[in-house]
Amino acid sequence: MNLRELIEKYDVPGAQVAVLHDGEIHDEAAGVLSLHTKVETTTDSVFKVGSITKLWTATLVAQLAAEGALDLDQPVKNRFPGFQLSDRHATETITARHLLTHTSGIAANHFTDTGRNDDALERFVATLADEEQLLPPGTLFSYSNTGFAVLGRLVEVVRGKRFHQALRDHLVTPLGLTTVATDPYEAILHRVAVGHTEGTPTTPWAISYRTAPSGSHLAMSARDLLTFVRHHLTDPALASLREPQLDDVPEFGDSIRGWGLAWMIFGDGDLGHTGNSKGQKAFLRVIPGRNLAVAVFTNSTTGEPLAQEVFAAHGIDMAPPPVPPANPAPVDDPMHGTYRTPLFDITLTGTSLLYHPRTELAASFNVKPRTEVVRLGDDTIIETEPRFGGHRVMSLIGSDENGRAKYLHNGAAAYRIA
Amino acid sequence: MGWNLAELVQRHTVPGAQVAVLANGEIEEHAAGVLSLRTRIETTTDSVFQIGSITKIWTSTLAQKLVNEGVLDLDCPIHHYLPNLELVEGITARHLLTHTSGIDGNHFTETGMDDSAVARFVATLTPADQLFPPGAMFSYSNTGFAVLGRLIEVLRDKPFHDVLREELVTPLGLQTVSTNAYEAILHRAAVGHEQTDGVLNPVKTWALAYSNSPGGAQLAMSAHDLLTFIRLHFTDFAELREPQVPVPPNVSAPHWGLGWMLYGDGVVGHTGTTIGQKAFLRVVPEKQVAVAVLTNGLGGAPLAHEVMTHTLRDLVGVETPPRLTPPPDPEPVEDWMHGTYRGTKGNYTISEEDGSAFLTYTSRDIHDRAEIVRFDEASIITKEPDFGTHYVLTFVGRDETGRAKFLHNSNALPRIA
Repeated sequence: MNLRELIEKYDVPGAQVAVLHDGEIHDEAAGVLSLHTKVETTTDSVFKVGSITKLWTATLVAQLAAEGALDLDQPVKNRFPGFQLSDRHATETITARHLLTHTSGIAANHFTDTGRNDDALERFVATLADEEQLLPPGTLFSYSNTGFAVLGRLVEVVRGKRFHQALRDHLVTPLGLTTVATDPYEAILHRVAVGHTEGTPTTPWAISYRTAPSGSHLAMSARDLLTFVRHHLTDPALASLREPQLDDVPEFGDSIRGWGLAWMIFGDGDLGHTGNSKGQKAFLRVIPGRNLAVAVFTNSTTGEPLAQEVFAAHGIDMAPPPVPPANPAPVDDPMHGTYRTPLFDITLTGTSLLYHPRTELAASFNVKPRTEVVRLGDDTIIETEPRFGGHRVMSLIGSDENGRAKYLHNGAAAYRIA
Repeated sequence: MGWNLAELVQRHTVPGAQVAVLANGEIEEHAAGVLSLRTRIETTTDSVFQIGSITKIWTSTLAQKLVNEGVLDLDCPIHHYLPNLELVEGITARHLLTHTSGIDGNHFTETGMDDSAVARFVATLTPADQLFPPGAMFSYSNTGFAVLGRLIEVLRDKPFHDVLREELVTPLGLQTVSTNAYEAILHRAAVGHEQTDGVLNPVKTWALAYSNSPGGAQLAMSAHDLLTFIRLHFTDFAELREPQVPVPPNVSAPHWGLGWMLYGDGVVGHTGTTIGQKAFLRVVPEKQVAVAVLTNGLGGAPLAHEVMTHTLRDLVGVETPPRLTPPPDPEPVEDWMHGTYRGTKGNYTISEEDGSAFLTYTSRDIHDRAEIVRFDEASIITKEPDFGTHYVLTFVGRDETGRAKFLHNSNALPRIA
């Protein structure tokens, strides 16, 4: 099926696909960039890459390590003197490797709006001094956008320039990338994709400039993303980013079996990342053994099955999205209990998850106070109602002295308090 | 109407343009060309172009609303409302609206993208930015409008763009109005074009500093939405069009109202220039006729002149004065005109070399020289057109030795040598 047929089939307004094989990049585009403007997607249009940005941030950090300006296993604080978390131990011990592997124990997201100025990242990272630490560093994997904001700030401090300037000076310009845009003022000079939620253009175009290094504003063509990936595959200094870093990775019903430095590692050793950003979904898979990489950019929350079909056509399997079993086993007693994040206390019963906001901010999020769940696998539960196009899977991890699970995990961890 | 927009953009080397004509209560819309020579996206009637300084009509309207509510007195010194301002005493909102405050006009200081941008910019101004005592003469001041924008923020207790939205954009139901790139990117958005090495190219910086928003920096919209706003002025805000101050001859319109340029013959309007985009507005309130021409190229001025000339002649029988060109047998540029005059960011020098006269502009980044000839008694004009435009500058006042005190290009440029 060609891309034009695929966007029809999956009701995606517009998409770009680029394939890197044996050093050559081929790309195609279909559909429109926005159902409002009806502007045609071209191969040089720009889509937001969302969290795929984390690979770029990791690369900037790896460059510093290669130059001897940073040791991934020394505390970040050594090179970033003002670094301050509320937890003294975390402040003193968090390393770049912790941050790159989502094991710093810093919670997933923080919400102090520090605006759209150059100093947004600096000011945002400074607010972490007042934020509750989720877990001691090194405890376990817990996906953290904020952790990548800290890495971005680390790059700023060590390079002595703003994050986007470092990105430009050390990646965009040397790689000769012509479409990479770090904000809407740059993106507007190109054909620009606008996200869609339920078939309607998503506004605003982007949020959270403060967390740009974790993926909120960066946009580019699929071809430019693969030019960056080709650099990874050809520069030996970047190979270490692909080495598996973690012994245990929680199960979420997807195909992620490990983490490198920012890279997701899939079951068969493939690599990649995904990005979600205001109605745009981007997918990257890299198979180093086959000298192959595929990037699929979509401007719809419904982009995932389209990406799966494109990947399948290149012999890359993505796990089918998990669904609740017909006759599920019960949610066992050792799983029951209450688990805590800085924002919510989450109680798991035999049939449901109950969300109790811990802060005014959390209360303002309008999170559904109760969702129904059933048992999925040995250590996993699944929500019975789909949302955002899929059923969310959560993992129960560890075992305390009473044999009860220590963590409830949905990508980000919550720790048992009762 | 006697013109075809597709033909006009071709002939004037303008990548893309929109025209809207309001007459008999109806708005007729035209679009032609592309929004950017890079993206080749076709211009549509709902595309958005930057309107630049036409924004000043919006800002003036917001100020007049405060007057109508009894919150603002145009003749009360602004220090009364903005006590922390470090500007000379005695500047009033009327001075700001009529460009007679004497505040140097073209700072365009970058103070970020936050709601605080206008406040932070205005806080950088000092009495050193004063060209002449308040009220002494006309000198176009973008910076003065930033101060006015700040005054509106303080009196409404909210950021300028929130006021603009709540007071005008939302009540008028304007769908395309965008106050920054985050909003404009959701539309087909025009990109300006400038000439580099003889080739017309899309600009690399989309918009002017956000700090200058009240004077016109990032506001973008369709020509249709601009005229929907203008229609409001057929029933309200007539006081803004009363003549307030004469303007030195030949440099722009002969008179200024509150925000409005008064072209004569019952025609008012404004122009806007941003980074590679040029916008033009002419309104005949008595006849309830208005024309907006929005372009993304340097040839926008002669294109708009052609549209205005034909359309205003056809609709209201008004003749638009021809564009200024050098006289066939010019008088010489005289000694009393020679010298160096100071602008916000650079200096202008009038000099003579081998029997020809030159205007040289020198700033930190730019060194530009153009041959000039005498235009009339107190004005000079560039000899060669730049994208169809000959620039005219006028000398104002004489010092004790008989030399010109100011060179005026709508900004008063004081003599420094």
